[in-house]
Amino acid sequence: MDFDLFLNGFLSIFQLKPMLMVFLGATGGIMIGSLPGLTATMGVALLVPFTFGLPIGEAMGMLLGIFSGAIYGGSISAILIRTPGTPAAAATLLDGYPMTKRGEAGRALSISVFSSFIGGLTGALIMTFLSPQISRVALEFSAAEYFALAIFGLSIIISVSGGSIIKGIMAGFFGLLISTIGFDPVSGFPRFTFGSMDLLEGPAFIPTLIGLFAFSEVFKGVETLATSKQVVSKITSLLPSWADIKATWKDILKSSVMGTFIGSIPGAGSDIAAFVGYSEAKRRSKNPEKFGKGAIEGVAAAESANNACTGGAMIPLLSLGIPGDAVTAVLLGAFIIQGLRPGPLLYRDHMDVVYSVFAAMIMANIAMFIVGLLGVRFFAKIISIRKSLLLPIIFLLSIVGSYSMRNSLFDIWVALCFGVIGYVLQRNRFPVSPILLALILGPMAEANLRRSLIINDGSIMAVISRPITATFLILGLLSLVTSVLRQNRMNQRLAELTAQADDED
Amino acid sequence: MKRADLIFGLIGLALTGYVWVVTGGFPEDQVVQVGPAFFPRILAVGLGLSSLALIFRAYRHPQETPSEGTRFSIHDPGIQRAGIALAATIAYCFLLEPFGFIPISIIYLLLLMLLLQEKKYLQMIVTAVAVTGVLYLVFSLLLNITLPMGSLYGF
Repeated sequence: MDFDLFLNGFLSIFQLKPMLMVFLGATGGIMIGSLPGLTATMGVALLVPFTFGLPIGEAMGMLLGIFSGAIYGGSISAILIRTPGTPAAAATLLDGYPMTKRGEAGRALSISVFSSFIGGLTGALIMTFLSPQISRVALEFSAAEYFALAIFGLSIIISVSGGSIIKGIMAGFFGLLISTIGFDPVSGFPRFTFGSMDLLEGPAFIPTLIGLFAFSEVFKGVETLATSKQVVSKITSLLPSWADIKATWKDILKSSVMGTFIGSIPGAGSDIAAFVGYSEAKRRSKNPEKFGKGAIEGVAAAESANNACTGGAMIPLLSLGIPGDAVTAVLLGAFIIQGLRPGPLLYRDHMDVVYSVFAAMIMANIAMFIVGLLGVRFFAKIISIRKSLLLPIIFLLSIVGSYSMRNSLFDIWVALCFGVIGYVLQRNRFPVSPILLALILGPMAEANLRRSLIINDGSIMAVISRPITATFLILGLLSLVTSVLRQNRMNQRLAELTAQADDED
Repeated sequence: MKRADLIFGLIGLALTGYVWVVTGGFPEDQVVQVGPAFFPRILAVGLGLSSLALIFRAYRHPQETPSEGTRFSIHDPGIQRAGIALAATIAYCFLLEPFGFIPISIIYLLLLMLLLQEKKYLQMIVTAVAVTGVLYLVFSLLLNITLPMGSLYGF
């Protein structure tokens, strides 16, 4: 932790243009998050192309603003219309919506923005202090350790795959195969290019994920003729009352710390963090029977945990180059566009960039708080925008975003192709996040495995018996097993909780 | 709906076979025997095994479970709408360079709005023109990215 660099990081963000970008990002993020059907992943994917020409500080400021904003924004629609705007807000509606029915929508929203802010800030601060330490350890890693790290990251695939585990694994292998298209990383032999010049470097990353996360969603929206619910409640208060803060601060702090650490485990995303924070608050409460019936502590615990998760998920991304969830996988793409590869070398060679990311993350949360407080009435109106106007705009943004990276029509075809694949897969309950993670970790696993095999004269045992390598591989295996178990338990609990909430209606 | 799972399992197996055959033509590394075909072949085996597991499960548990998808039918109006949206997007790609970003985008937006059964025509037109205009300005002025102006008009 270098205080001078930290201060410089702040100075680089605390200027007119970077600040403007952070606030724009936060506003856009809250809008995207509050609209059911638009996720944080989609928002960041669609807006990465806009950051292409920007300096790294501004680009990161905007993207982190979107990330934090979207996770908070999801709570607005969860509270007002009982539809989580993003999966992260699924726990928020359990108590948020009953509060709205009691006419306390304003109270719920103001505690939500406050606890999101505290959670996000906690996550950002823990990230600032912890990730440099992790990167120092990782600096000692050789190719074999990186291979194991990539495999460990890939074991995330199961935990993000929801529903069916076989389908998650299949999607992962499919993504890994896609990642082998183009030049072989070691010998330079072109693989699976079908003789196309455009595929020599593989399908471009940003168009691919715009296809998987934006096109596929709008196709679904067109198929189901998605409609918007109308917001009926009036929002009266903007700031949380002193009494509400006093009643919830313990839950907020505990959820914030827990959320950060859950976020830093690759694979455990903000939806899981929110549920863990929520159940912990319920367990520790003097009157747990109030939970699910509009307990303000429930909203506070869920929201602080899911926003804390954003900072947590940044820790493995920055220090190891392993994304903690789908959004950070997209952020990794944004770094690479800027010519920077997250990981321990980033800390060694570009410490200034790392600290400007820390500063941007902290500013993003402050911006989210200010915009969220002042704009809540506006965001409540956004929810009711008709999908028949909104979806065509997302179609156009997907096209223009894919095109603009390299001024290439071919990239639109790539996006459209993955859009259709993503749509068909999702329709058949195949998760698409594993494809995204595989695209990033596949080349990392392959190149490092083969490099270490060459060093060790082709002996696989010499590679996997190195202590850190073996540890990561075993951790990967453990994470596979535990996530299968956890998945079953989560599904059960989710069913119980929503059944309870349904009874209240 | 085990039929869909069966089909996806078979697609997975077909992909496995394809990768196996194509990688057979890749050059071998003489020194460590680990060449360009090594990693894709491991992946192909993994995909093949998980596809077999999916097919096996489809036979063992033929009853409906929530982890399975919605039935696909070409007569379903929703599927037809998605198909039209896809066709419109393909047409957009072909017409973008000859006719230019601005007119093609406005028409594309209006078409999709009609497809989504939007009825307020004035709002439709205002939204389509405004969105196209703002996007054009943001890309050309702020980001210095030129969008096609239309080769037919001599740009």
